[in-house]
Amino acid sequence: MNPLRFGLIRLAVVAVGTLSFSVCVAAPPAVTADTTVSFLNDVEPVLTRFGCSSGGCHGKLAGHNGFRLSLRGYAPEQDYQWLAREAQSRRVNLIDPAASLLLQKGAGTVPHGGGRRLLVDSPGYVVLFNWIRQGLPPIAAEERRPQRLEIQQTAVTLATGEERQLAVTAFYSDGTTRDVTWMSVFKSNDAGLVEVSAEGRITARRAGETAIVAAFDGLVASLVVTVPYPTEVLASAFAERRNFIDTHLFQKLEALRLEPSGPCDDATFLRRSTLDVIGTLPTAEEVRAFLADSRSDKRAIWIDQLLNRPEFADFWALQLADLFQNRRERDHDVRGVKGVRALHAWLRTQMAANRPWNDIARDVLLAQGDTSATPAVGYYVVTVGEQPAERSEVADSVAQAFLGTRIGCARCHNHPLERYTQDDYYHFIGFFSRIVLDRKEPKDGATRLQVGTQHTLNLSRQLQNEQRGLAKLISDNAPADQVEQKRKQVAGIEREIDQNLQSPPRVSQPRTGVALAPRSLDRQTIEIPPGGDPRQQLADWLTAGGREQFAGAMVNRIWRHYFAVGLVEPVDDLRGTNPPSNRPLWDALVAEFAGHNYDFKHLMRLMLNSRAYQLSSATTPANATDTRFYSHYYARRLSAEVLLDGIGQVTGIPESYPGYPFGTRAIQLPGPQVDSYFLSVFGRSDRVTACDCERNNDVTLPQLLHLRNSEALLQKIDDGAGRLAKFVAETPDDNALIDQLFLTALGRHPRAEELARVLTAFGPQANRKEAAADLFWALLNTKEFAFNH
Amino acid sequence: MFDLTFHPGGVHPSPTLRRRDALRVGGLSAFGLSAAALLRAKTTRAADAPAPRAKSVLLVYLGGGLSHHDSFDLKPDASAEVRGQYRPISSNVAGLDVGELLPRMAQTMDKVCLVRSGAHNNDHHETATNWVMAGRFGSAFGDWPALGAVAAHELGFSGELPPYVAIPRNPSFTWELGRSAFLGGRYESFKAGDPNDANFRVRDLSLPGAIAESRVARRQSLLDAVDGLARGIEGNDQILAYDEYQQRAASMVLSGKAREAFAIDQEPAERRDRFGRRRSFRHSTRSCLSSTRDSPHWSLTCTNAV
Repeated sequence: MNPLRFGLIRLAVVAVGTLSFSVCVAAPPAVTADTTVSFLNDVEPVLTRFGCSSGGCHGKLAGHNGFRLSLRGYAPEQDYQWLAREAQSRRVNLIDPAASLLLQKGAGTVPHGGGRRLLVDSPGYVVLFNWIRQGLPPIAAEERRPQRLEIQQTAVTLATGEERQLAVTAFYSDGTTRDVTWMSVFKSNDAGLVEVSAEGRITARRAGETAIVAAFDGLVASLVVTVPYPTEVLASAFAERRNFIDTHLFQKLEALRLEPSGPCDDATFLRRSTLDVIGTLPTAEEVRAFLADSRSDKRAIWIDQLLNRPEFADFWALQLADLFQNRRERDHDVRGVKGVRALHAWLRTQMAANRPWNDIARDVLLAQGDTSATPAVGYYVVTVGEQPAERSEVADSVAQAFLGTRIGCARCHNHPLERYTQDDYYHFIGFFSRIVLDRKEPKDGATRLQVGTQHTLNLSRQLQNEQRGLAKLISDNAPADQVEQKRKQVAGIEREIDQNLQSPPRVSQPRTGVALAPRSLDRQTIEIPPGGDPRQQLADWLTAGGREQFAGAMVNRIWRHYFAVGLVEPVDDLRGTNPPSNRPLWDALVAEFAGHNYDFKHLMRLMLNSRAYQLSSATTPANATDTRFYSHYYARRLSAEVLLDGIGQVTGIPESYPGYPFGTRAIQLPGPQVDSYFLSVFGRSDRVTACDCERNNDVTLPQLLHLRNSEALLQKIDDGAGRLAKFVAETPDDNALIDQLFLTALGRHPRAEELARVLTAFGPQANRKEAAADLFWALLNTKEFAFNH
Repeated sequence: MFDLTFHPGGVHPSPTLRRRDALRVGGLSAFGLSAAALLRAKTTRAADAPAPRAKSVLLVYLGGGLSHHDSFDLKPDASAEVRGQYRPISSNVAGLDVGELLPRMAQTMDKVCLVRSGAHNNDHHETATNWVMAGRFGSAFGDWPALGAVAAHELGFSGELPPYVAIPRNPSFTWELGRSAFLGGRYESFKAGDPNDANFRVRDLSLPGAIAESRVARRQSLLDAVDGLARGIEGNDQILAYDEYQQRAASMVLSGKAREAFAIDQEPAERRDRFGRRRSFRHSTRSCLSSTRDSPHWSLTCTNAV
């Protein structure tokens, strides 16, 4: 070793380290030659911070160019082996640490595919250097571990262009704290809004609000950064508040200096609410009646009426059927269309009765028995399928559907953005380790879900055989010793089944081989009584005491349904590092839903009656760029089913679906297997996973081509039995005819300038029927028709 | 010519000489082409003219179809269970044999860059197909955009033709594969339908029935008169996309170029015959796509033998 060189390292680090305490900037800690380097607490975080163990480099499953690390250090014992021992320890040089391949590669002094990650003598380099120099100290049995991470501020408000340095502190199990800013990895949830440098310096780029996430040693912390809009808005713009939703929502707009749009007019409200609540367009008669109604509370009355319409149950059964992935299986469908229909019918009944969400969730989670008697077993037929439950996707689906969280990453490695570890995943899937599907082709009877394992299922089949054999021996008057022997066999199998069921449920973690007991995602160990079905404890945990994640996951979906954008986005990605855009509103809604017995209609009524919901979709120059804080109603394309039903309703020629009675609406279809180009091209959910992204609301070219040119649509317009033919025949006056078409398609009267331009098409020479058909076509091709606005 | 190196880590376009080139060229050196010569060829080209740039890519995806050891990668020396029933024939490239069922293909192999080493070890239909389509390993549900969607994202429309076209549609076993994933619905393939169907027409590309031009114009002017929603709403991505596609849809139908691009029946009979009469291979309707001025940046044509 070169003594001069080492002296320099010490000097540089100590000097910077002192600075860090006085001004609280991102600064390396005082790593001196005397501090013992901890592989767990120092080396691993350095390898993560500088990207060595990232998924694109050595952290991927196969490693890179022969060198492998666990992704972001989730398996430190393995990493130690690979770094210190593998390949005859060629990666470290104890005699001359600076000559270690690890340091030479990392510093880019020898060719390295990943380039230079660490400057020679930089703090990260020094950590690795000292670890080698100290003889590769291994992982000790009782090391302090960080338990909590904190970004010093809880919220920050910045002006556009302003910068700030963040400081990250780790709190350790032994009560010590440590400034880990320089070892943390930073990420902005919206980098266009607030940028964050690798060193933790944030820069506000444009107005809005987002969170910055810091990750260190398996822990994460987040910080909300608010960048208010530049122009002051009059306080009166936020004054009118109808319920707590408005209180919180307008407070946020006020803090951001984001001007709300004005209220929407009655016709817009009627169309908007009807589409949102029951997935149906208002009829021309409903529009006329509503506009003529002079009661001041007519909107609230209409909302109540909508919530009690039969279409409400149809439309919300569709939402739940998406959530519970109600579809036929991929390969060997044991449930068939009948089972899909049965689950759909069951869901519709629940929504018609306004059953509380926690009750519905429990019924689905705890379903057992056969698919015909308990249609909710279908949820397991789809999510478990042909695999043993603990190796299926059921845990991922349950977490996403019921808790709005994605744990799939943790199946193979620790979740990169959440605290979920691989252990957490296998603990969680343990709740499903005592269910087994006795799958049968429909002709052989209904598939059953029973408590047990594949092994006990096989044993019980064997038991049935033996019992039949015993009965036969008895009825054949076989010799007593034969009967006795058979009896013993039967008793033996019964005992074995019982022993299996009584043993505590465990799932083997594939990486460590450790058998893990069921444990909730918040790491509560839960007692499973011997012989019990652990799902019972999961359901209890899930629905106990207004659990935020359970209530919040549904609140967020309903909110997104009515307000187009979830308080958390993506709507099913709830995690500490992805905070809601309005925390007080979130807390209040979650408490309200849980406190009112998970009553769907109660929650919806609150949302629908708020001033926020009834804002205009028209933007003002000041709020046009807002897509997150509800300064205006966000216009969005109608979903596939609603749009197709709308065309059927408006033209008077409903779509027909093979195998379903005439007049069946798209929102009433039980599953996605019904063939329909329209529904596919407009992005209905295939229900393959529990992900909300299965439903695609994008606007695409084939959709527009279809709306313009589809023969089916034109035939509906021209059909002699359709509404257009009737309108033309019954309405001799052109103005009245045009008015009727506007009311029918767009739910409003034509504006004066529209009427003037349209009337030119109805000249004296024009074929009136064709002119009306062309107008109808045009109305059905407007954005106003295709959007809820 | 372009090279694709396919391995479990992904597909990389080859910007420079890679190990594979060196090996292959090294292998051919007995026939007079050395690695040095190839390097020289590459540098000469770079100095003289810009490297030729592919205008469009046609991906013929024979899912569960033609097997490699019956076509381009025979194993004549392997044991009987492995080598299959067909014999190799020599092609117009010395040392490169193909299967005996491809005699005319054999005469064009000098224009082919053959990669025999692409392989994966996945036995799950959806996972493997999405892997091959995207060049990147992910879940069965298509975590990564297919290369056609990437082309659509990077290059945009090709004249009036959508950039990513699938004929007849994307591969699928139960759900659609080869999708645009996180790039979003704008970059999904345009499904052209099956040109082998009697009276094939690409869906919704032509005006239905006989409709007077004056009515077409009237519809458009009526639409302009009543389609005012966007005037009050700024910054809404869906509305912007709707406006853009409304215009594209109108011009696609009016100009007819897109329709012509798919008009397989406009091709001379003998040219169509050259693509074979067997149904599965007629899917490869290269003629109908490349014979017009516009062609999509990425066409995916697939047959599923499942």
